[in-house]
Amino acid sequence: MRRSSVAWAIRDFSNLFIYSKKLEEYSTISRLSYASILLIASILTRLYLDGVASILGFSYITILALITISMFKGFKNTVRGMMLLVFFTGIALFTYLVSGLLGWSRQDPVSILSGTMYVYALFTSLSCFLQLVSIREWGGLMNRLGFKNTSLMMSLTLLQIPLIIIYTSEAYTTIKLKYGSKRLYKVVTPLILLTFYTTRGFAEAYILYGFHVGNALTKWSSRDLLLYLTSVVVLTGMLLLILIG
Amino acid sequence: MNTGNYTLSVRDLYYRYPGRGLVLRGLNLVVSRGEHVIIIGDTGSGKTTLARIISKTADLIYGGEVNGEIYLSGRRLSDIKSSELHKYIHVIGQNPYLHFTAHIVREDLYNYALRVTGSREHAARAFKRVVEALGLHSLLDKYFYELSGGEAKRVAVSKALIPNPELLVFDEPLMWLDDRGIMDFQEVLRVLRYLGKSVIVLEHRFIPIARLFDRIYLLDNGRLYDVTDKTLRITRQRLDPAVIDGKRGVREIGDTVLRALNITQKYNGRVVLNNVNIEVRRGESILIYGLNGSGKTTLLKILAGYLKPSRGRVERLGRAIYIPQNIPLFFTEETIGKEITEICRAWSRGSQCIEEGLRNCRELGLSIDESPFTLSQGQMVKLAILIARLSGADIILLDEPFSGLTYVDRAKLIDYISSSNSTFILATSNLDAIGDSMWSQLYGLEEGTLKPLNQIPTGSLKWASIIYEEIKRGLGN
Repeated sequence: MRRSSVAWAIRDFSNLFIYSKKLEEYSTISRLSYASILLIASILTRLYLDGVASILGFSYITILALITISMFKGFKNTVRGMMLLVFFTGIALFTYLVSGLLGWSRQDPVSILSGTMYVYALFTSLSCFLQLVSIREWGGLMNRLGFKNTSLMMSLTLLQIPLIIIYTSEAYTTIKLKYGSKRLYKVVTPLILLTFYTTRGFAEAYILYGFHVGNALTKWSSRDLLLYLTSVVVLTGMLLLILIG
Repeated sequence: MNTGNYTLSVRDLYYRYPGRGLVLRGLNLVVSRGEHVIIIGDTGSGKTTLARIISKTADLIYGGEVNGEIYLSGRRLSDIKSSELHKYIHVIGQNPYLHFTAHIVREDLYNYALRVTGSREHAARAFKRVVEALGLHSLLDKYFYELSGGEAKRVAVSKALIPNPELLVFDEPLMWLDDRGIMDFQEVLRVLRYLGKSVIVLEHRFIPIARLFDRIYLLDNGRLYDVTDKTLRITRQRLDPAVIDGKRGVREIGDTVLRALNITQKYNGRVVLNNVNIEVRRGESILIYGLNGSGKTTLLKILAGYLKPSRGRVERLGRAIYIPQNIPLFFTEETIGKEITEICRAWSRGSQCIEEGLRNCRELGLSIDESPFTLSQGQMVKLAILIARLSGADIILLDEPFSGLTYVDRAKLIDYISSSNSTFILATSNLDAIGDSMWSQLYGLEEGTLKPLNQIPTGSLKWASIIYEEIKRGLGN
């Protein structure tokens, strides 16, 4: 990855944790169900499939999740957001493959590839979870389950993500020029401190404004059919793979 | 006194943070309905503390000790529940990005309207009212972190207006705003006056907005002083900034240390910088002026060698160090002493560097055992520059170093930069630093295009800081 891209790649990456503006076209229940199915499918693949079948399973989930993210965020934004993950998993994959070829690792390339694809599947499914359900809906959901304080903490945490990632990108630039690449770990100190200040700021906002979680959950929309249909496709595909695999 | 006649009435207010001395010492203030008041004062004088007290966060979040009587529209503050406080008062804090409780502007405003009104119909009406009053239509579908400082402030104001409170308090509203943002804020004040709202502004950069207020107070040593007539009289005087600033000593200018040729930078298909050319010689101090979003930070990062331009090239004959606007991001160690030791080690500058650093620290009045994170904004910037100088970096790049600084601190910072032989490139979004004679090159950056600027002899920082010192003179006697 080009040096110039790192800071912006971090910002694009942050986009994958923020819910989409087009949420209201679908009901909360359909979005939540679809995101849960993707996540469950990733875990089932990990538990019941191995070898080439697991690679196929994880790829299948990843592709579906990426198509979903593209629907909400656009293709270009999705590709840019994934760049950082591709970069790091690429390095890890390359290192494992080379060390395997040199005899330092006994793991076979198929299991390494399967592990890599698992990371993608899990990440994209989690990303779908965060993009498909808004902070208010999370709050409403947790409230209904009786976790009022947890819902507040979760909302405050989710709110901070974009700001913290922007700070990370800025700190990365500053510390790299101040100390060079060898001491990049030092970015942690100012980031912890700024996270503390940001949390306190959002806590003040909570006192001033509070969170509206009332009727945050919607049950049905005519467009839900698309998400339910895709959920069926995911489940059928997974079952077929498990049966064949 | 009949407290019901006033939007806010504060009597004998004392406040201390846990384990610290008194910040406010018998403060008195009354604000009538529809009155606009500005409170000026040094950094750390207690302006933000006052805002925290009347929004109840001073005891709920900061755990401090409040003594005194506070009434909002005749009701004692302690009798008002936190959940109903928004009907009386709203505080718009320094950082407008921390006012959001949802990522998208539309959702944030509508959710809050729904919470306040309790019905979709009333929420939609309140939402429409504030969106139209502040002209927010183009911002509604943006994520809050995509907004400029001025836009975020406007959204925060409109959010505060949803419950229709009688009093709005702005804590340092000009912080993070460029010159266009300041004009936007002046317009917001006019709208609030038209709506009949009472307003308190807590701000140390008061000159651009002072005339828009009915009363001007100075917060000094925990008490308020009415300085309305004095301030308006002094700011009306036309002083010649060139005479006040005088001429700086001649700086020694050396060989070229950096040359940027035909720099073009694109992001997301948008041209951020367009064919930028700049040559920097050792010992020069260069100022780049541009509004927020004009590409200043991107240009600094390209000049520093951190970003690679889409087109063009940068010839760098030395190393650069970058000091960000969000200044705490520059520091990594728990004490100032360790900051100095680490930078000298990292740049292999030897023990002489450490000794020089410690000596300079003493000259700046900083204790080496103190944490850099607890310093005031002005001290943090000076320490960052000191560390950058110790590193021996050939170029020091400063991104908006004046944010959050008082006029006096800004003038002192200019003096500090001017007294150094290092090479500086400074980016700013406020014209008030341009009047100084220390800049060897002045540039304006507009929509990615860099053009030389002529010296502007108005808005001098030295002039502003003299005005402020003059206002303070003789108080408490």
